[in-house]
Amino acid sequence: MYRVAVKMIGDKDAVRDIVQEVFVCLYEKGKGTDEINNYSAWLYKATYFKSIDYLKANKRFSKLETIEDRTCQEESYEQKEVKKMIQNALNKLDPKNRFLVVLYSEGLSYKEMAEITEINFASVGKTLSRALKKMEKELKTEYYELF
Amino acid sequence: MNCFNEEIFQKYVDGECSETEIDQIEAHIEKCVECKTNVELLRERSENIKKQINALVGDVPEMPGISTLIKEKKPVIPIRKKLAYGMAAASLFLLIVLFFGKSQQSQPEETILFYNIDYEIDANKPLTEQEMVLYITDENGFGLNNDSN
Repeated sequence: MYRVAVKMIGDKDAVRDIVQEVFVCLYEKGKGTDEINNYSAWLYKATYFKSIDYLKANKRFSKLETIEDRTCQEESYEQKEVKKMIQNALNKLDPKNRFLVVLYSEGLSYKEMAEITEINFASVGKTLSRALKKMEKELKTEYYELF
Repeated sequence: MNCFNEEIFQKYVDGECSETEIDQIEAHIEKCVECKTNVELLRERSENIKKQINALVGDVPEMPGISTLIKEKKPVIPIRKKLAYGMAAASLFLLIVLFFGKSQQSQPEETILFYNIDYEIDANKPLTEQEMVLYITDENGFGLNNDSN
């Protein structure tokens, strides 16, 4: 969940809050009568929706440099720029495709991805292939601009 | 030559093709150099993108464990099993009652014995020649006679 949320929004402080909110939501759901059949899929989905909510809420605000960014001296300038480049390329994808690519990077099967994203199983391959192609194109453009 | 599209190759690279599809693709890329290169490029692209996206995460903080969220269902004991357990318990209780009842009955009863001493002292005889009779009887009057000199 943490990994997925970091890949979706990039801000680690916000991700901690999101993970906490998802667990609170799960706890509230556990009290009610609604039954969750697939906990793993539910947690992934809840993380996705919370991440989308966060992105929508913070759309108007540009991200300020966090303390973590300033204090982390271990990473070189180049490494930081590459990470920023990957995050930008991911952000260029629409949220659903971004989520699909993030789940793909987590090593999930097409069946699991179809269940979580509610994309038809037969079209997972096609959607993923297009998303990866678009991301590759974005990465190439960003890399060209950067170096 | 009928080449496969990128979607099929992506599925092949991700190991999501059926055995028939794998055989067909492998037979095709043996002959078609362009498709073989495409497959290699797709594999490289997938691996690179996965690696680069995973590099975004860094160290994952340790999350605290969660317990007692999921309600556990109590196991249902079938009625036959319940009956068997009940019968076993009842038999055990009966055995205990019988054993203790019998053991209490087998304890010896208390017998009250009465005694009576009859003696006559003759002053002219020494102590060793004096006569004494001891009568021991139970409460019904039955008993032993013990004569002693």
